[in-house]
Amino acid sequence: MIVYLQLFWIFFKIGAVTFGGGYAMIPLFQQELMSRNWISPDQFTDIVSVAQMTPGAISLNTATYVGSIQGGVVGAVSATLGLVLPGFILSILIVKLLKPLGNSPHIQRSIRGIRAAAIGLIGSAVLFFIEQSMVTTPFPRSLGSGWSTIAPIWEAILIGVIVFALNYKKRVTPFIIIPVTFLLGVIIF
Amino acid sequence: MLPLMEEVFVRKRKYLTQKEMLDIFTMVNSMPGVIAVNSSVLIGYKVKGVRGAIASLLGVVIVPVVVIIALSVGISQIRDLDWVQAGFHGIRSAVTGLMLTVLIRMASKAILCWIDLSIAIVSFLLIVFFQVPGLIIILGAAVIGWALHTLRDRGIS
Repeated sequence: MIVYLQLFWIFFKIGAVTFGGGYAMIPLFQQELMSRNWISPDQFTDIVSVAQMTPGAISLNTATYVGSIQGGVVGAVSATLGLVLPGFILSILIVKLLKPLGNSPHIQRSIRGIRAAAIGLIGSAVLFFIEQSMVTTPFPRSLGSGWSTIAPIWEAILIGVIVFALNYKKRVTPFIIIPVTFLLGVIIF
Repeated sequence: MLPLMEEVFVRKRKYLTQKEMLDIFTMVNSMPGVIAVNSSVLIGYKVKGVRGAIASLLGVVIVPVVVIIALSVGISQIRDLDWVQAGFHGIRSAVTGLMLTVLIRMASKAILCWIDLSIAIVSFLLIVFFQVPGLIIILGAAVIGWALHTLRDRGIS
């Protein structure tokens, strides 16, 4: 029982404060789940990857997946409900009572701050994915030691760069990219 | 997803006018949570009140939840196989590239002046080097963003 409540609460908190879309939520999920040792770093990257290629919002899919691993079907439903409930309640409240509030310049300024912070958080998620896929060990968080043990994985870097170019310039969708890179991975690694 | 919603609810079903749909998309942008879910809830509410909102919520959530539960069970069976691990390494590399696209696209919308840029950089440093909880970073950014933008707006006017 306690695990269902925990799942609900973790995702409820994150769902209540993250503006500007699902990707900003990923580092928050990562912090909450890894600090509890519920999920290992490589497991987390796999979950996000699956969430990315499945229909539906990436944050929603990640929450469902984590809930399912941690607490089966009931866990999946708890996590999902936790994530969507703040938005659901706020949507109705805003329409019913608080309509003018969203247009207040004070709220807009705060939201701008949150959106800027979200960029920093997404940046940290990109760094985490680089560490999990393109180098042999994570970067040390200090300048001194630890740097000599890191080696680049060139095949992975090449895949990442090509995917970035295709997605950014040509808008090739993940639905094509993910299966193809899975096959590439099976052949290369 | 949003253009599809517009197609169905405004043009096909005529549940909403173009203007109402636009208002919903604007509102969703200043709300926390999942954008696709919040838009669906607002559309449902507009059409049929709280019941409509609940119906829309269930509608937008059920298919991904069922698919993901099935996938998570399936993948956990095969995840430890060598070739699956290798395939996932390929996917992880690809997702890194995809996330870089998202980062650049979102930054070009969210970073409009030096205040935004500094908040983004400080947030990045705080989470990467000091493991500050993301929730605290977000709440801090709300306060600091409000304060700095208020100061700047006063300075100009």
